[in-house]
Amino acid sequence: MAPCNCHNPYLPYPMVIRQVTDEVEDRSIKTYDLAFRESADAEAFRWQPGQFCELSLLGVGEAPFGIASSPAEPELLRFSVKKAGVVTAALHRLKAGDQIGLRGPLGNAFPLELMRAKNVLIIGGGFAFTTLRALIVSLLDQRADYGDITVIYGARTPGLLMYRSDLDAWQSRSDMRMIQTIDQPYVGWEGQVGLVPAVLEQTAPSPSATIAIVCGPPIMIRFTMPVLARLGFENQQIYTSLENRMKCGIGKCGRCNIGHKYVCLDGPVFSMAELSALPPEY
Amino acid sequence: MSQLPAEVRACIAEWLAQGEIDLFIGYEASSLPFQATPAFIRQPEEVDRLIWDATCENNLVSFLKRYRGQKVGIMLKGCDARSLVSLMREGQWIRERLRIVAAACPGVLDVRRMVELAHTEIENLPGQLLPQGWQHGETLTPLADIRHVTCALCLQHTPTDYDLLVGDPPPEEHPDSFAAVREIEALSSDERWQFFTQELSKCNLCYTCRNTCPMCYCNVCFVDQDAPRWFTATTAPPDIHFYQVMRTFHLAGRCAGCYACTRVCPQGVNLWLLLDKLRADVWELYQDDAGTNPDAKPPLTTYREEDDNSFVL
Amino acid sequence: MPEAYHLPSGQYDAWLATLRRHGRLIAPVMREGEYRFDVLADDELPMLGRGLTRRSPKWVFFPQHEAMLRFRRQADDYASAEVAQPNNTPQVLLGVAPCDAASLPMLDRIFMDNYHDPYYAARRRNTLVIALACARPTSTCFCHALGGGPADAAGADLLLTVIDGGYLLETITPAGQSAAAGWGLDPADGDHREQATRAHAVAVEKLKPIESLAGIEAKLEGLFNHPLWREAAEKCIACGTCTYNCPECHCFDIRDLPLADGGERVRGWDACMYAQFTVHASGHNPRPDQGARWRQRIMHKFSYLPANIGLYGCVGCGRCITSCPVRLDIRQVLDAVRRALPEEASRGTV
Repeated sequence: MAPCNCHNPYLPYPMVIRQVTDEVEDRSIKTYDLAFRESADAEAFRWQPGQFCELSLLGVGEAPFGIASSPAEPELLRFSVKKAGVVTAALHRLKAGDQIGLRGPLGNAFPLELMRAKNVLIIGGGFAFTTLRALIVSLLDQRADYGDITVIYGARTPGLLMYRSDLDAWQSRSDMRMIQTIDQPYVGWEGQVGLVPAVLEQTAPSPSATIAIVCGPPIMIRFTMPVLARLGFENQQIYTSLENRMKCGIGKCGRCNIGHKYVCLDGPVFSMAELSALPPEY
Repeated sequence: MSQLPAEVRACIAEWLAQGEIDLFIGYEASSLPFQATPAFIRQPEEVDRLIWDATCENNLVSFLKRYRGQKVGIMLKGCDARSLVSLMREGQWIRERLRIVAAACPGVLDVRRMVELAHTEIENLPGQLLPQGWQHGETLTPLADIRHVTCALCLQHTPTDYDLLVGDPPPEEHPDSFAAVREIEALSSDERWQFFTQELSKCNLCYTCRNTCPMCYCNVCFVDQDAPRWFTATTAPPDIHFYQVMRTFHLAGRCAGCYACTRVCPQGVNLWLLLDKLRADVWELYQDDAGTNPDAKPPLTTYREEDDNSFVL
Repeated sequence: MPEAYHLPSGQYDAWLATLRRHGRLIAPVMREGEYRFDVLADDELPMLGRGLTRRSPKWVFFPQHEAMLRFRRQADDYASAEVAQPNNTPQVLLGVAPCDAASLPMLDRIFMDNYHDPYYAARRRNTLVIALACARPTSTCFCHALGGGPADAAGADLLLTVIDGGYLLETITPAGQSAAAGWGLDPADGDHREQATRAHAVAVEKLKPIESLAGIEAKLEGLFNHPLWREAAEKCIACGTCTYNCPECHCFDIRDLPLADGGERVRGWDACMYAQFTVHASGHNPRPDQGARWRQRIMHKFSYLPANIGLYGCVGCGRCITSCPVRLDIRQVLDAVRRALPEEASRGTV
């Protein structure tokens, strides 16, 4: 683990919000494109898909969010925030030009090295698509380095799918397979209908030389894992990203551990092989 | 340590065996001298662990909230029984689900005071510091000298409603409960501020008072709520004051004066002074005492036309 | 062999004056009826040798709450926020019990390994730690079950031992050596050393025989779902006093504290004993009951920390036992761990 690139790991970089967009139709998720106020900070900030940051508002507090943009997207640092608690509610009141703090990048990343020359299967559900977006952009940026890329992404309704323009762009590419699905039939929706595990079963990707990345709500993960097992995926081929409650993000404050592993430091990305050796405390 | 009398143990074992109760909450010896610990008894053969003596300081009523829906036997001192009354009049427990073993309680030991008097560790306390009647026929310190300060305020030595009684009820003392409150009220506001700032400076915000209070049964306490967040929980004096004052106000008309909070406070804060002020006010405004009548309606959830309105701004 | 000096009672006051010139003096005193570590007033004398303080001195390095960032009310502007600088005041922590000193090597690993915590590190760097060999072990002490002892000097820069007519002062670290070299004390002779050795042996004699806890991490494997956790936690009222008073517990929260003229981002103690500690924003709690929280407390101290840094998170001071409002004894929980059969864990009540 590389040491934090700032001298005092608790101090946030000053950031400015470039743009705020509503990400989904019920307005529960907003996407923020941020810019560093200090160019030196921007220079120092180096990340990998899968990592997260602590976003903060003075007087309100900090909360962790996965980085939704890829280092392959120049000048873009993107986060999507679902309104859930105090910090997220305050973030939702912000507009372009407002100030915000950022600590990070924190945690480990998706195993890009391991995916090299292999097929990649990405399975996402609902709001847990933020760091998957970063991963897909990075994979496509070095497209020739990877084998088949299959993405299955589901939400309850079409309007709750995040990053619609990205999804459409990926859908139209011939060098990857993008499957969007919604839980139930919906007027005007011509794509797949069905829960993610069922769509996965129909799609039946081969486990051969494939790495699967699964991020979604606990219920989706619970029903997706047996399908992957039936398809022949081994635990060490499957990765997921966890979201235990965190504060410091640097392995000190003692609340996000699962057994002796810290989600903020050893994670948030874990293989199912690693998780199966840990207690189910997440 | 004094084991419960054989006939009482036999009765509790019978309750358990017959399914009249699922659980008995009493006291047993702890690993520390002069300090009992709560015991949770589910098997008839375990009742021999149960004790009653002046080391049984905890108010076991605070555990009841975990066993809603079960039938519970419980050991109560006079003060604890008062808090049960308050809990019952808020509809949190019904008498039919309880078997009560009442302890006639002359007072519980203040181990810190004993240690201070003896200038030694607990385990080395000399025999002459033991309370009267503790050991066979020795010359012993009167219990009054080493009982907890809140026991001098005792509102009720022996519960009035019980299924079994342990010990001989000592005469009730009927102390002037609110003498200390009046003394503090007589101070100037600066002096009062200084007094409470000093007293609360001992608090380290561990919430033991809240966690041991039978009446603190909120699912999520205001200090723990995250959305919205009311409390930043630092040990800066404004936070400590905010917590203690808000907790006290939440107990207005509900605190029965069991003083369990004060006895368990790891930092020895005299919390009873704050709570007694509220009890005094409620008595003055509504002539209500939370610990006496389980059928009475709590004053702050009851509207009466003749209620005093003078404090409404 | 460490250097040793003789500090006769006659030179004690002058030595204290020297310490005060070195930095602010923190030592055990009586405050509000509590025997505790505090910053001494200029004319105040330490009260050494009265056993363990009620609370550990960990706040000297890791205060219960401290500001990391200060900001003005109108400033939603991070650039104008002021960084709370780590405290560089030189200080002397005098009269630390060996068990409390023994907690420092573990805290050092937590706060200074990997990401460097500048607040802890500054205090640690600027504090001279002078331990006092323990002469009054009590029945709740179990340092010896964890490899410690009444004269163990781990974590201290210097170690004092009461001998006839004064103290023996042994230097432990280079920082202790260079400090002591400037104090003008006479080197200790063989008799002083022998007296100290005897005093150490007398204290060891006072410790109750106890089974070592070495290797308990192996025993804990396979007990995650054992019913013992729920049984142990039944009387726990989740006050967290055990963790506050513990010299090793170091979990914290980061919160923004509004003040009249702005606010502070503060770091403050938190505890695994609290129900809210691990609640997700969704309301899901991976540790839904007090049994799961007690399991975390024991596993963290006796399994996870040994796995991660090779040190236990417990020094055996016994404060969690003596300060527990319901007298829940961690030694009894550890005994239950020793007796537990892994196959019972399949009952899975926690």
